[in-house]
Amino acid sequence: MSTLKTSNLQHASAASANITLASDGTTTIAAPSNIIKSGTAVASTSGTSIDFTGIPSWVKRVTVMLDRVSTNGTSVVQVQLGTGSFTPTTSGYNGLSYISLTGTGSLVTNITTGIAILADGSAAYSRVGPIVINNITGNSWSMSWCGGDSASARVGTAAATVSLAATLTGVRITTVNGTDTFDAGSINILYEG
Amino acid sequence: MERIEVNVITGEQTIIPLTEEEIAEIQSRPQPEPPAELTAEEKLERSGLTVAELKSLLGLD
Repeated sequence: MSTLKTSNLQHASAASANITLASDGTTTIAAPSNIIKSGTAVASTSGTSIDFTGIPSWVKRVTVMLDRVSTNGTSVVQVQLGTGSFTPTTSGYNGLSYISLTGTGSLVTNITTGIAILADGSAAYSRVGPIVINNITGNSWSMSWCGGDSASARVGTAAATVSLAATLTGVRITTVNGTDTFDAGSINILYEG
Repeated sequence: MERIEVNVITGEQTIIPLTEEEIAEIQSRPQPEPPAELTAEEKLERSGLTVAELKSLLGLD
């Protein structure tokens, strides 16, 4: 068996290498399809917002994973999409969010500034569950969440759509009032084309 | 106030203080009114029971 030694594989009409082979054994695919890539988990223990930036333009699905995410206030946690060198889109979301409330039935709310993670907020909430963000077409995106508050066994679900002004480049996790601070948990994302 | 930025390609995490413009925008947001405390009747209704049904259940007709 012979070994083909090269550093780059490039289509004749492509402007740059489709595949780059590094000396350390890693392989970089410029615009992969059917491959799921992971971001880097970040501790959601400080800050008023957490931004995942640098999402490649070929991405068609992003999954944001919440692991017992908590804040120090009562504002609803929301997820927003962003464009450019990261400017979050803060309006134009069409959706609703649901939470079951222990002893008092349930609550449904709709906000236009993002997809709401649980329909209300509490410093005691420990939010879990994935937010799946799917490309509809062009810069239009569909977002859904199914999870809850693991601290008190509340269940929640939410859905929203939004049309961005440009290509998606990032995701922001923040609160509706913008001033509550994250104080526990971790967040990571997966992205795929 | 500050935000945390994570680049998904490089994995680099950066803590960035909010700009004066960002803080001003946050402070200009309308603050939602606190949810009203539910009455006993409203709590009952949300659980799917009416007062009459509860009375009947407890033998208080």
